Amino acid sequence: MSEPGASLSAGESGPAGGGVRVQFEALALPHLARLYRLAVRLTGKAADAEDLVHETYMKGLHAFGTLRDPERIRPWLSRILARLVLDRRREHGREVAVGDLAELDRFFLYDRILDEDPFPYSDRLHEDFLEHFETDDVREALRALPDVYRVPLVLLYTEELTYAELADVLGCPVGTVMSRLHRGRKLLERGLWEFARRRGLIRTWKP
Amino acid sequence: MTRLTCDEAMRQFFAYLDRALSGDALEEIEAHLEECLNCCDRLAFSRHLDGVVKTRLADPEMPADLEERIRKRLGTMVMPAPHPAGPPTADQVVDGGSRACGELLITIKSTLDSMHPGEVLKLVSRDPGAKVDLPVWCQMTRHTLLWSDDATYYIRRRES
Repeated sequence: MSEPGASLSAGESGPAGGGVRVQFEALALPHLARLYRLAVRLTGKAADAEDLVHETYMKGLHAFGTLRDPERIRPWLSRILARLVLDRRREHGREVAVGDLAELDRFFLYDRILDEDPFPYSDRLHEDFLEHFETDDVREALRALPDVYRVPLVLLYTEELTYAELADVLGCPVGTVMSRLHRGRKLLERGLWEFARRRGLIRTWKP
Repeated sequence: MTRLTCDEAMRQFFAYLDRALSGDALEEIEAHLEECLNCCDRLAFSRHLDGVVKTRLADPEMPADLEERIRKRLGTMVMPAPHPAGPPTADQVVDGGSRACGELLITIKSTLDSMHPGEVLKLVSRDPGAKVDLPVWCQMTRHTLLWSDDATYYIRRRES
């Protein structure tokens, strides 16, 4: 059997099962911690994340012959994982209803904070507003986003991918990546605002 | 170069923040930011908010034995044996076209159900997902994937 990573033409006429597995493990398992972190961020639950990582590695081993560039195994695994999340919720490839899009486009959290002025004596109004959110509040707001928006956003924040790389991972055009990241952030802004309102941080509500 | 209104600029805002703009689009938004203080402030806020969200993402401790459990699980997987000699002979042929996975699997399942144990189904599918999904599906359903290339799969029906 060849050294791990020496030959990846394992697809049709590659070495027997055990050898492929050794190669795959040597290349793929060093990325486990990062994949696990991504899985937790995408699912929000440790148990779901474990299942997801297990399934990602099983699919990865089966499809190992289709990996062209061993250097790119991490984005390749991230892609399998992200697809599993999207496919599981059956939202993949289509937009979900998020209410009035024109209204959403006009929502600027920055402007809202300025209009409401929740801290009249502060000269760093916006920072003060954001500091009111606990770690769990932000995670909750992110979790509330539909998968089609949350998955690209979490991938962007976690893996620091370019739009072209995201398009590849998500299997959609760059324009779609752009609009989903835009809309996802808008939804997050609105989510945070509504959260603050429920908390009583903002007393009035101007629609 | 087009002069952008605030609304038009804002539509490109996050792409600008993510350094995903180039050429005219980039020049236009930079020109707008040079003369619009309000948008500059909005942009600074968006950048700040991004940072807040990023630092508050979960940073979980991985279970110490996860790697070991994955190794074990991978160890139990049956790898499809390589068939350099070429495809086997098929008893039935299904052309899945570019049907996506869920629909495709339903078609395959009903065809295999109608076949005799040990018979071979030839499937043609250009769905890229099939490459990953079919082997796992075969393993789960105890059918055997005998041979595959870019768009063709030979599946032997399970015995019972």
